[in-house]
Amino acid sequence: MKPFITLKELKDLLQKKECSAEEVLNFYLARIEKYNSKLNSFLEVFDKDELKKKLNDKGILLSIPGAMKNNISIKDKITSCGSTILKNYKSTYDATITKRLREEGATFIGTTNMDEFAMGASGEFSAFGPTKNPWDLERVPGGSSSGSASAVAAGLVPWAIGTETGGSVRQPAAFCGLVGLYPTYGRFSRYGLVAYASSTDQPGPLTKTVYDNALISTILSGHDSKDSTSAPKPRVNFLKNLTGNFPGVTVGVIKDSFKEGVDEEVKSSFEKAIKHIESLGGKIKEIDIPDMRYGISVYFVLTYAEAASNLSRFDGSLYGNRVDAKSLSDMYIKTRSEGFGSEVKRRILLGNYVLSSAHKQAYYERANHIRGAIRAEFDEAFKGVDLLLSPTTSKPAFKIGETVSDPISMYLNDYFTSPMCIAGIPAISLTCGYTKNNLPIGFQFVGPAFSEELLYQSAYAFEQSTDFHLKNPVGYE
Amino acid sequence: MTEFTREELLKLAKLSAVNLNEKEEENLRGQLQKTLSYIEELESYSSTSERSPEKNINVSREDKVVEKDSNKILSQSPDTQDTYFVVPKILDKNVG
Repeated sequence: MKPFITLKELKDLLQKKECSAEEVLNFYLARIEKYNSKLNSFLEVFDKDELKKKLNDKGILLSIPGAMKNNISIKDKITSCGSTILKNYKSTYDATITKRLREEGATFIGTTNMDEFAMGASGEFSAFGPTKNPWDLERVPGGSSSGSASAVAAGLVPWAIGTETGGSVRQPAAFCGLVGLYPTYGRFSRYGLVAYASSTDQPGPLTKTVYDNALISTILSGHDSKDSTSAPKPRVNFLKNLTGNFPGVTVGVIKDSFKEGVDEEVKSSFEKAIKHIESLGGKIKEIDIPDMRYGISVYFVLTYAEAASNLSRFDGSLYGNRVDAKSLSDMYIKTRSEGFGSEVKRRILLGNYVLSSAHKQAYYERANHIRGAIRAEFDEAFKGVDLLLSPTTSKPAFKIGETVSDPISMYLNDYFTSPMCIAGIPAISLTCGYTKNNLPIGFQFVGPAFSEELLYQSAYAFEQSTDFHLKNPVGYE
Repeated sequence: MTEFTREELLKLAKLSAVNLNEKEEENLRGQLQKTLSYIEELESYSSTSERSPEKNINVSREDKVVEKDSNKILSQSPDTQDTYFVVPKILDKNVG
């Protein structure tokens, strides 16, 4: 097997019986053994014998291994969320997406590193050490789905699941040269995902190719009665429209794509991507989404508020680590002070600030109002165009330690991703070029709610008529 | 923007049920101040665009008993006795 074999190619080999599920498993276990120590992608790799016992030729995935971000419940496995407070916590049940993947023959080979409670954009805020970017070990792989992205990029697994609240799948996809999807809010079930900000949290696949991504999304899709925000829609076969033909649609280039602060190499690769889409038959228009400029502020306020509320459940009484104390309130305080890292504390504090009676109107209620306005602007834009287009991030992967003490600078990286999460609309990130230092550059197609089929069709046509997806990081042969 | 005082920070920490050490206090105060200055732009927001109608609706499901393995759930607790979670005394005249 070649090092960066895709899910599609593996399926072919298995179906033709040119290799066995056990060989595939051994191949990936050996790669993890060889490369994980320098990347720190995995928090846990499951026992080889236990994995072997469960191999089968069931479902769509035929036992092909993949990895789960460690905030997604896998029964009887540690779900630490990258946090000290949950470092020994074992899930007592499968998340719905875990169950669906399992039913389609997935082998969960292990769990991946992440920013603590999915709060971060670099992987540096994990309690278990930073994850490295396989394209350049001095750089971050992006976050918060840092381990899932770096594992797929280095070919340690052919697919992995991440979660996204403001960019945590698409941004690491862009930094690592992968395909990443943020689905329509409600498209994939959140049951069994540890909540950060419930009104935007969604899981999403990270893969090397659009086809592989669509395959995993097909398995994840479909209504789940256990998640009251799950959309009442059936499972969708996202492979259906992958013809290679670009749809005859109008594509709106988001005006801010060329604003000050966007890296010159990102701009130039993105410009070439627009020209390429035009050559494929896409009609190009420029579109301004003015309220998008408030996206980061709205994202800060709403997600911190939700985080402060969601994370109040971690107090040492029912599960997770406890730090003993004489009184109940001291036990809560000691447990949380020692269990949470600084970034999580920062967001909880800010969340409680914007929710406090003195500031609620100025921040939380206002942010909620602007959220509606941003959604309305996207609705309006989609009356004139079928899809929107922008870079995924304003810069390529930054150096480890570069932004760790400056939260604003780090989160300006979410400028192009958080507005879609706020509006609950889907977007797919894929590679459109490389910097002169050989770092991947990502761009995204954005569509109206439940337009994932169109997104996949467009992204596939782009990918198949370019060769960006064929390039791999050096040193993982 | 008014300065984010140490007292405010400590009050927030109390509300959030966390203690901050000296280093955290110093770092967080600076970072919170910076973030609050940034999100101040929300106050200047004005737009003609109408708020998109709220699409959220309440979803309920039947109130049915679901069998769960309670031993498994209890096994994740730091301290249990029989089928109970054990926590420090809530009412104790000797401790605050």
